[in-house]
Amino acid sequence: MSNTILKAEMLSKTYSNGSIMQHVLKNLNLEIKAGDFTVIMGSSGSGKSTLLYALSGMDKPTLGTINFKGEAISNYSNDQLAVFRRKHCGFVFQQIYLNDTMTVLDNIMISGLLVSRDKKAIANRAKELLQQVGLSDASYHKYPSQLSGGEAQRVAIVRALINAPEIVFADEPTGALNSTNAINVLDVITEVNTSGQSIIMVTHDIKTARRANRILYLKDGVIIDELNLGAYVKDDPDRHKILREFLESMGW
Amino acid sequence: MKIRNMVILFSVIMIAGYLATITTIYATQINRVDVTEINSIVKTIEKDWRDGDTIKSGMFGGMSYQIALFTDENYQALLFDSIKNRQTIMDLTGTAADGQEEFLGKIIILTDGSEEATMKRNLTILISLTFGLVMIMVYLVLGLVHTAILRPFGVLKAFARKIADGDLEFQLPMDRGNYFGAFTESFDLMREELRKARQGEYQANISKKELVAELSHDIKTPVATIKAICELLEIKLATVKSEDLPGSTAATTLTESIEKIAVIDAKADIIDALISNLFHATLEELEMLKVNISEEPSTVIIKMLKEMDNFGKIQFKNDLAECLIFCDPLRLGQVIDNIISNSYKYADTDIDIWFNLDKTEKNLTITIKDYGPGINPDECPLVCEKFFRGSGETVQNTPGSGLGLYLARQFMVAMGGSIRCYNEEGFTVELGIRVV
Repeated sequence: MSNTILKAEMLSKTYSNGSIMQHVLKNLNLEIKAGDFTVIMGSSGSGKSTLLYALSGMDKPTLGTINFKGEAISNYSNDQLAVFRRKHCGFVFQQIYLNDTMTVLDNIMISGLLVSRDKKAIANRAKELLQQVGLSDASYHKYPSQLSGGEAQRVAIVRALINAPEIVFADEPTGALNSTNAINVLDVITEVNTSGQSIIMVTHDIKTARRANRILYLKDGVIIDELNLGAYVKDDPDRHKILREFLESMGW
Repeated sequence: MKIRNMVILFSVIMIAGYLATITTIYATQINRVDVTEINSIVKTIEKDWRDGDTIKSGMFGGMSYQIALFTDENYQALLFDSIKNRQTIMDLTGTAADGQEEFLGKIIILTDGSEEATMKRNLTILISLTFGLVMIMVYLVLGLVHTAILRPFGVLKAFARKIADGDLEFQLPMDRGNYFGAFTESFDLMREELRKARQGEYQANISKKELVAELSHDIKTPVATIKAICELLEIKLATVKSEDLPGSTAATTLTESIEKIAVIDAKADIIDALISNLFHATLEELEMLKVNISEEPSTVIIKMLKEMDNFGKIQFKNDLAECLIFCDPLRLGQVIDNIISNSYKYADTDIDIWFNLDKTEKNLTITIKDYGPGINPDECPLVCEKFFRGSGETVQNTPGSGLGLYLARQFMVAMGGSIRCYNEEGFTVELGIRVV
């Protein structure tokens, strides 16, 4: 299909320690379409984060292939992967990983400067994005320690978006935030998705998951089922109900 | 280069450098001022001066001099310059008109002031050279330690892990010129012995059971003959009427004979039953060869096939899709071993291999095909039966027990897979392996 952006085939990831082999992902097949908001759920140790890292090129799969827009990134060297990640992927983590010795604007711009040399354009885009996520001019020159958790995570989201990546990978972005901040951050992510960027997010939280239009349930390294919420409107209360039923049937 | 030579060279260079430095330091000395020489120069100049020869600079006995007259304008400047250059300065006196000694100026003996600088430069070059050499030597030694000790050790470590993992096919590359060469060799010997022992154990186990099974199978045939003859005799004797026999003794003999034959028949039955038990017990043991299924990367199959490729006849016709499969690597290896050895034994042609991954059915098919005469189509359904051996001439003339494909089927079924054999150009075996 033409609008498939990321495709994984027979993906396996094995961690071996001496003679003990641990297969974390097993023959996983997955297709992500452009503009999808995909959420990966599953109990701890089911391989969610491993899958996210393999898909995003942060880690190499042991077996199988990953295609990004028809190009097999699973054959890339580490350097090629680094370039690929810079250009096409944005990352948001539970730990925010902002550089404490840099201002908000610098933190964002340093990511932008990895790809482009046009300082002015990057600064403008950074400011624009900061406005979008609801951070005022006053925050530009603040240091991360002067921000709340929610604000810092929004800065991290802006940093992830600065290079206009096709896919944003988020590993429990709201895991360390209180509920108000979490809703804020989720609103931002949902908005990002509405503007056309694909999102792949790992989460434990049902409230976070119901924002997605596709839920994958992972168990022991295998996608045992998936739920499509695309047919429901964003605020439809049925979304929550159906998701809850789905997760219950999965043994959540 | 051996470490000992290296150490000797290192020491020699160090000592040579040291000696050279010391020698240079002692050999280079700033020329002492020769007082008598200077005195004689001064006296000569004064004499010349009195005689009216008032040249202001010149040479005497290899030393050049300059005269700074008290009345000169640049007298002070000249004096300071010469002091700066550490030159020797003497008074120039003449005799005045009243016969009194009169101070005229200074004689400056021009000595070479740059000697110290030259010595410093030479020393610097020498010391740099020495240190440079020492550094190069140290790098060489470190490099040697790395290539000769650390790297082989790393290889050894990887090897030990493979052995621990039970991978006895992994060969240890050997370098006799290396310190580790001999050490490595013994390690590899150990691996080889382990592998042989393990293979031998497996073979012995199989052949012992095969022998028992074959023997019991063979004993059944004469026992069956005995039983058949007994039955025949019983029927024959039963038809003989005692009235037709001459005398009572003959009648008694006949009855006794019938009884004895019945006993033989009964005993033959017992032997038959016992042999059946023995036969089944060994067969069960053969079947009971344990299969431990685990999840393995499909790439192990390539490794197994390559290990069997002793004659360079195996060709992969397409790429194997990487995936995780359910298998017991040991048993799957034996299955492949049996199939490929059959091909070597009976066909001795190229062996082509195709892989096909069916993602929806979660099944990986390996098609192993040779281009030999194949098998008699009538016998096709029987090839996986125990003790079945084809009727063809080659088969009959080749030693074998008829258990290879039988065991292959047992193992494949135990791994949740399948095996299918058919003729197509030659003999073809299709292995189905479950994908995780």
